[in-house]
Amino acid sequence: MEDFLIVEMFFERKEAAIDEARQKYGKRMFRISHNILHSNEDAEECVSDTLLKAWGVIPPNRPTMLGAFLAKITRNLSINRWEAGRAAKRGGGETNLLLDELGDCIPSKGGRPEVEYEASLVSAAINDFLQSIDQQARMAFVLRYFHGESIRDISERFKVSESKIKSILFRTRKKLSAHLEKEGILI
Amino acid sequence: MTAKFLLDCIGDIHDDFLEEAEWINVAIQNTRKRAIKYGALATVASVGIAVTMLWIRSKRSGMKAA
Repeated sequence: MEDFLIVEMFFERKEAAIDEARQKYGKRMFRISHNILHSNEDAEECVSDTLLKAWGVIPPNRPTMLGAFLAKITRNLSINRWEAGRAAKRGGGETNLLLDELGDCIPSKGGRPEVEYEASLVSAAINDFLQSIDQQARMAFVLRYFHGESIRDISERFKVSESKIKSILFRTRKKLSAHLEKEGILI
Repeated sequence: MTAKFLLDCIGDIHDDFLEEAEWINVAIQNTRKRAIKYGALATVASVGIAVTMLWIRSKRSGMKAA
């Protein structure tokens, strides 16, 4: 079923909209959540929570890309759940690795007191940056830092070695760091 | 700014980029499905050709003997 029809069902408050959305995007949501939480049970719950949240926010929202809309909700819910779990017990997993790697992108020059820029400003800078890089690097970046995929999975998808993906991601992080600095986003 | 803050900001990237990355997943799944399908077809075809060749050979040797 087309996205706009599913969204229309949400607007008409038809509960079948949830089933349709689950059928079309369930696997995608589960994969994102599982990449972050590494638990089938938690990932299943996150998918259900995502659909419940979507039910609450559509309407008034009318997403044109329902898959991306749901993916963002799933990711946020999964990270929140992961954080709650981490607070309860110190643990590893892919998300810790993501945070370690993204630490490279935070410009350390400047020596000014920490200034927290608005998230929208940083997101806009990231979007501009992603627009400017080549497609393979962009896809690898999104798969790694949005979807939380492992290096091995990404290398399998692109049919290249893991070291090549590591090198692409390393270069992309360095470029992002430089871009953020250029945009005046400093610590 | 922390890595967690950056991770959150990446959560707001354009839908187009997400769809683009998702496209490679779908493309790869389709390629795998195609590979399995054509691989199976090629195997069946090879076996068919081999059996036919054997059958023709056995027919020929039968005719020679006669």
